[in-house]
Amino acid sequence: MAGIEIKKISKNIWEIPQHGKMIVPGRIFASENLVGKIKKDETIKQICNVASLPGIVKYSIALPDAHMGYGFSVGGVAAFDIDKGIISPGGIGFDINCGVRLLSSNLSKNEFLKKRKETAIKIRKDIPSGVGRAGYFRLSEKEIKEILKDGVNWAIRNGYGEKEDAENCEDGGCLLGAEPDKVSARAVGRGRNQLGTIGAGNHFLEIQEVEEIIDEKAAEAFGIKKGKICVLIHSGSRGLGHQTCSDYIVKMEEKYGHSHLADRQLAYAPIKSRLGEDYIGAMKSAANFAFCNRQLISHLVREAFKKYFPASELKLVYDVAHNIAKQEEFEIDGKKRKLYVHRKGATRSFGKGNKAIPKKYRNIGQPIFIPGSMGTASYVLAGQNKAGKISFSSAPHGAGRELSRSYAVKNISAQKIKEQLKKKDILIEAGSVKGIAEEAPEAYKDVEEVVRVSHELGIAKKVAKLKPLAVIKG
Amino acid sequence: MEKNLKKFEFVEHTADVKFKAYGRSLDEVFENSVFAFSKITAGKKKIKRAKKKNLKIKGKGAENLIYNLINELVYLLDAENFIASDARIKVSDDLKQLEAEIYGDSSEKYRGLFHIKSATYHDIFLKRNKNNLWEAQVVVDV
Repeated sequence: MAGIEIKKISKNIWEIPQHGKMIVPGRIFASENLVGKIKKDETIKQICNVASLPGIVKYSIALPDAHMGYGFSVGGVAAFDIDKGIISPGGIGFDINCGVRLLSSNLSKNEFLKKRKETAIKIRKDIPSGVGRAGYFRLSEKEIKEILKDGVNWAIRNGYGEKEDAENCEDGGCLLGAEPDKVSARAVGRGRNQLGTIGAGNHFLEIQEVEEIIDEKAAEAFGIKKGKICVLIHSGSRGLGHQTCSDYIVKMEEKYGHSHLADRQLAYAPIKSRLGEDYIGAMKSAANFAFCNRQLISHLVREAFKKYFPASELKLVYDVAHNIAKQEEFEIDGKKRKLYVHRKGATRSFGKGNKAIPKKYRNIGQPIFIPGSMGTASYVLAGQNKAGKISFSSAPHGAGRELSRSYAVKNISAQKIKEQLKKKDILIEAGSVKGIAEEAPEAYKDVEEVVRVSHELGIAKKVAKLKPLAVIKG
Repeated sequence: MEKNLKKFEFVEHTADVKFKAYGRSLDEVFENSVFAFSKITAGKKKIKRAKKKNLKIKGKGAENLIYNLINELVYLLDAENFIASDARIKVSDDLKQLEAEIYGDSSEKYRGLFHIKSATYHDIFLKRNKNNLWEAQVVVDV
């Protein structure tokens, strides 16, 4: 954006000095090249708008994959004082607990390639993606309410997973304090038939080969072995989460108005208010629905693999949320403070020794997954304690868009992308041609650069590189 | 008055979809917003007018009303598998309510549809433009 000063602090760190209504400065973590891309749309303005929200602490942050969103930028992180701060549904996004999970397997690439097509077709059939297609699971309203309360535990109780699966999720796959009664009937109506579905847009399921191990010790702890097959699942809380966000933006606007907001999508309520607490109870419920959705998808993936590879075992490495707000404790200017951290398109990055991560990963740091764009590599990283000092324990969530969907559809041929994928020996099972063009690799920033910058900054450490073999999307 | 009014157009947005809808009357700008919704979700597919839904939508002013209308269409697609093709709409003078006849079809008959998560309030407006036409702008999260 023209007119807004951006100061270089050090390699990969930039600051937007406080001006206008900003309470804190903005901080961008990016290389020279990535900052250039971030400047092209309204990301900078959105970082400044967030910096003006009541109770924000230290900085309004943009991660290396940041791009323009609505209200908050995507790849945006902001922490608010628990007593004086606010909670903003737009700072979490419509897709509450959109996230990624990775399953590792004992299957080698060569074994998998023998039945690649059959497996991909079965997965696409069993786990609908796209729009207006109901999932395999038809549940009563009572069961949905149980899921909202119990998350992954509901799935495990009902035979759709192992006890270990819950241990390998962020927050055990169940946020405590969920209040299903704060989720509207309309939200339940929208989500009810969508469990076990991926959704559309940038959501996908990818079968990958572990191409390179970068950190042996961490990869071993995560159970990731070179040459073996992994499955990456990217999905969220579906219509239930979207409706919950929408419902509360309207409620907050009704209660507090919008004339004071730089962007109407930034509607908020004080964390310590009736409405703020109601939203938090509803948001946690939607997050649990998303954890359960990814678990049910994993169950169907395991079944599909069992059909073609009876001896296959798919273990959950970890499940991370990248659209969420959470209460966490940070040291700010020498004092420990309780903050509500909003991560919109950002992954939590807890390092070594943190008690919130599974014991078996505690010597390493939590697993983090940064999926590349369609047809490009994805990365496994490990959380670092330095992230606690500079980015409120946050790391990027993906490559980050660069071109608009309409530009991509107009200028990139889906047929050409299909040919490129074929050349790279990647199978694609997609519901729509336009969807392929929208998600073209050229529409995204370079995942290699996003990962390199994160590694250099010390907010996450590279562990392994995964190469796609089959992509299933809406 | 223009005879061949442009119903709507898309505006660049990095991650989501932004559209502007036009109308010679308030009713028409709302109707053309339904066309925009249909185009976003159906792409090049022609949605048949096989079903009709009668809706009454309330709002607190112009922007809230259009936000609620789009979200109602999103709800119908997610919860009732109904995809809209077009609509006849009557907006009340105080912009606090509209009555709509929404035409469309069962979404299960179509493959490769696009999803809208929700309308957003980001950059939303509904106003008269310099050509004396009604102009609505909405960003939808996709």
